[in-house]
Amino acid sequence: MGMNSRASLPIAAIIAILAAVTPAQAQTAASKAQTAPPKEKLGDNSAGSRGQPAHIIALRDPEGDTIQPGDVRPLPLSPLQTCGGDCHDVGKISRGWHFNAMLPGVPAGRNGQPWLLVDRETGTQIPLSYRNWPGTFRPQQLGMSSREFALHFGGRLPGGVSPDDSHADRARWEVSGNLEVNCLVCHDATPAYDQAEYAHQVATENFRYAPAAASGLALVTGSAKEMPDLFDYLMPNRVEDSLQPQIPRVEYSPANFLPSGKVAFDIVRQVSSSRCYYCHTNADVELTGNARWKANEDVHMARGIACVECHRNGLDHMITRGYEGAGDASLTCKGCHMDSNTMGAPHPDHEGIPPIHFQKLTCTACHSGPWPAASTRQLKNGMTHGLGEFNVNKSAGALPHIYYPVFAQQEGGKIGPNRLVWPAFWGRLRKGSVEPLNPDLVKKALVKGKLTAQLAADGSWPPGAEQWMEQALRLLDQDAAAEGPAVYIAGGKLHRLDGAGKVLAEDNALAQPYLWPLAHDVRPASQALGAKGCQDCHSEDAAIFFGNVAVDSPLAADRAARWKMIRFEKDVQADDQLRLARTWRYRPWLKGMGLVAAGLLLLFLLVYGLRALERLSAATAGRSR
Amino acid sequence: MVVFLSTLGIIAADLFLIRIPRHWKGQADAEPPTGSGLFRWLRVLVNTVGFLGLAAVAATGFSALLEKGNQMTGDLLIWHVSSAPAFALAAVGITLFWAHRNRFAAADCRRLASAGDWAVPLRKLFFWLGVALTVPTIVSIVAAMFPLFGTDDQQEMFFIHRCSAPLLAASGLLFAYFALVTWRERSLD
Repeated sequence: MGMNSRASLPIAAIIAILAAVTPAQAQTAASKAQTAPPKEKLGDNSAGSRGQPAHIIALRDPEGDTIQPGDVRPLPLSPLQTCGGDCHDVGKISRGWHFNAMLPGVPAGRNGQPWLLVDRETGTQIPLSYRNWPGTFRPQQLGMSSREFALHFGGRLPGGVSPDDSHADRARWEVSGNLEVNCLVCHDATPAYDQAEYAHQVATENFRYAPAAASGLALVTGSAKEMPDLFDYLMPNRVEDSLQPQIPRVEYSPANFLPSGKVAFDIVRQVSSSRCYYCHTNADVELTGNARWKANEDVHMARGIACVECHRNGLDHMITRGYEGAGDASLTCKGCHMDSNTMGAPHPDHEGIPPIHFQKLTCTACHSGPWPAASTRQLKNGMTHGLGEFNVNKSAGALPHIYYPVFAQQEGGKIGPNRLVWPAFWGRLRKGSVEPLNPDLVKKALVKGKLTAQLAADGSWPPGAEQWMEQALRLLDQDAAAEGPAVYIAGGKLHRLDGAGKVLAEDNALAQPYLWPLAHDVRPASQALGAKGCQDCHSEDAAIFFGNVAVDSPLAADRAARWKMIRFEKDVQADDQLRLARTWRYRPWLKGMGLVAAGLLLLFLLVYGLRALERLSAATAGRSR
Repeated sequence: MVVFLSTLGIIAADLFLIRIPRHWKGQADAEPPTGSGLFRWLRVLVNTVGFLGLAAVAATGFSALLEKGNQMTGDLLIWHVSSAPAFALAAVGITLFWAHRNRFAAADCRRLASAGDWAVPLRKLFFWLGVALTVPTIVSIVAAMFPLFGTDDQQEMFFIHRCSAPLLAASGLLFAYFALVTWRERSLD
C-alpha cells in the first residue's frame, strides 16, 4: 500500500456507520444498493463524440489506492483498478475474445491459431488451446497449470490468465500477482509502450508488475521468480538479505505525473494496426531479415484500412473474426464487397467464373495468402515465435514450424487456405488413445538416462533424431510405473516399439496435422487465382489440388512422405480434377465450334426466314411462285 | 419434367390415335422421295449422329438435374461437354439436309385440315423450332465461358440454357418422331 495514499472508505463502511445511527434507513439503503441495476460506468456511456476524451487519471495499484509520485515504496499500477473503478466495466471487457479462453461456456468458434508449446530437447511442438478446437490439446492434458501457461505464453497475451484449481501454484500466484487484463496493450498509443518489456517481465514472473513496466511510466527491477513462496509484495523486505537485490521494485518517473498527481495517458479507441501486429504478425521466413522489403502488405492495409475497421467490437470486446457465421455479417468479405459496398469496397463482378466456384470455395481461396506454389511455404508468427521480443531466435529454421498455404475443407465445407502445424510430442498409448506427456517430465527422464537430444544451432529439430528417438522410447518403456507403452508422434505418424523392439510407424488420428484458416494477407483482384485464366486451378499441376504439403518431423523418414493438397480436400476427387484439367486444352475448340455452329444455324434461319417472308408477301399480293 | 411429359404425350397421342388406326386402314400420306445415292446415306449418317448427340447431351444434362438437383460436376460435366460439339455440328448437318425439305408450303395448310395428315407439317414445325432453340442453347453456354458476364449474369445465361435445352430436346424428339412417321408412310406408299 502506498505510504502517502489517501484513505477512501468503501460504501460498505459508510452503510455500516449509517446502520449504527439509523438502522431502518441503513437497511433500506443497503437493500437498494443490492437490488439496483449496475450503473453504467463513466467511460462506457458515450455521449457520441468521435473525439478522444483526455485520459488524465490517477494511477491505482492492485489494492485500489492512488499512486503518488512521492510514494516511498510505490506499488505497480493495476489496469483493473486504474481503468476499471469508476470508468470502464473491466469485468465485461474481460469476457471478450482475447481474454475468455479459460472461461466456461464460451463458444469455441472456428479453429484458430493454437499456442504451440515447443521444447527442442524433447523434440516437442504441440498445439494447445483452452477452446477445445479439434486437433489441439488442453494445457491440463499435459499437466500444465494456468500459471505455467502464463509463464510460457503470457508475454504474448493481453493479460487475463487467472489462477486455476491447481493448489500447488496458489502460493506462487500470491508472489507474482495475477496477470490482469492489460488494457494498455492495445489502447495505449504512446510510443513508449513496450510489449517486449511486458513479455520480459512475465517471463520473470513479475505478473503484477508487467503492465507498469511496459507502459513506460515506471522502471521495474527484480524478479518475482527469485522470491520464495512466502514473499509478500506489500512487505517485501522480509526476504533474506541475499535476495534483497532481486525484490521486484517499481520506480516511477516524477516527470510523468502532472501537478495534480495524475498521469496523462494517450489512450485511443481505434487501436493502431502495429499493436495488433505485435502478436498477429505472420512473416514468411523467406521474407524476413534483409528480404523484408520484398513482402507485400495486405491490400486492405495498403489502402489505409486498419485492422480494427473490420475487426470491430463493442464494450464486450467480442471482436468480429470476419468469417461468415461469426458476429456481424456485414463485416465479412461478402458483407462488405457483395451485399453492401461498405465504405466504397469494390464490388467484384467475377466475370467468367461459374457460380459453382462460390459454393465450393471461400473468398480467401482465391484472394488470400501467397500464390500457391509447387510446395508449401513456411512462416513465423508473433504468437508462436515471439517476434519482437528480446533475444528472439531469428533463424528461419527455428521451431515451431508452421506451413502455409494448405488448401483444405473448412467449417461449412468450402475449400480455403490454411496454416498447418505437424504435432510432435511424447505420449502413452492407453486403450487405443494417446495421452500426451508433459515435455518437462520427458526431459527429466531423458536427463536421468543421459539421453537429451543434441540441439540444432538454428533452433530447428535435433539432428540425428532417429537413433535418439528409438533409445528414448526404450528408456521410457522401462518405466514400470507408467501405464501403456511410450509413443512419439511426429510427421503424421505414431512411433512405438513393437514386440521385437523395432520402431513401428503407424497412422493415428492424433498425429494428423492441425490446420486453421488463414485470411490474410489479401491479394488484390489482379493477383487472385483465376486472374490469369481458368488454368490457374484447372491444370494437371495446379498447386491448389496437386501441390506438395511439406511434412515436418525430426525424423527423415517422415519428412520423405509425400502429402498432396488434395488429401485435405475431402469432397474433391483427384481423378475428376485431372480429367477436367486434361479436357481444358480443347476448350478453345469447344467454344469455337459452338460459335460456328450457332452462326451457321442463325444463317439458315435468316435465309429461310427471309424466303418465307417473301412468299408471304407475294401471297398477300395475290401472286404465287 | 412438364416438357418431357408433354412430348411423350404428343407422341403417344399421335401414335395410338392416328398412326396405328391409319396403318390398319392402310392409309398413308406420302411425300415424294428425296435424295439418292451418296446424299441419302450421308443424311442417314447425319441423322443418326445428331440423334445420338442429342440423346447424349440430354441424358447427361437431365440426369444431373435429377441426381444432383441442378449441379453438373465431375464426369457428367465432362461427358456433357464432350458430346456437345458433336451434337452442335450434327445439328448444322441436319439443318443442311432437312431445311429445303421442311419449307412450309400451301399443301401444309390442306394437310392440317385432316387430322391424319398432320405428320408432315408437324415435322416441319418441330424442325424449325429445334433449329431456333439450338441457337440460344449454344450461345448462352458458350458466352458464359468468356469473361464477359459476372456472377448474376452468368446465372441468367445458365437459366437460358436450362430453359431452352429441354425445349430443344422435346423439339428434336418430336421432329425425329414425325420424320420417322413420314418416312414410314412414304415407304408404305
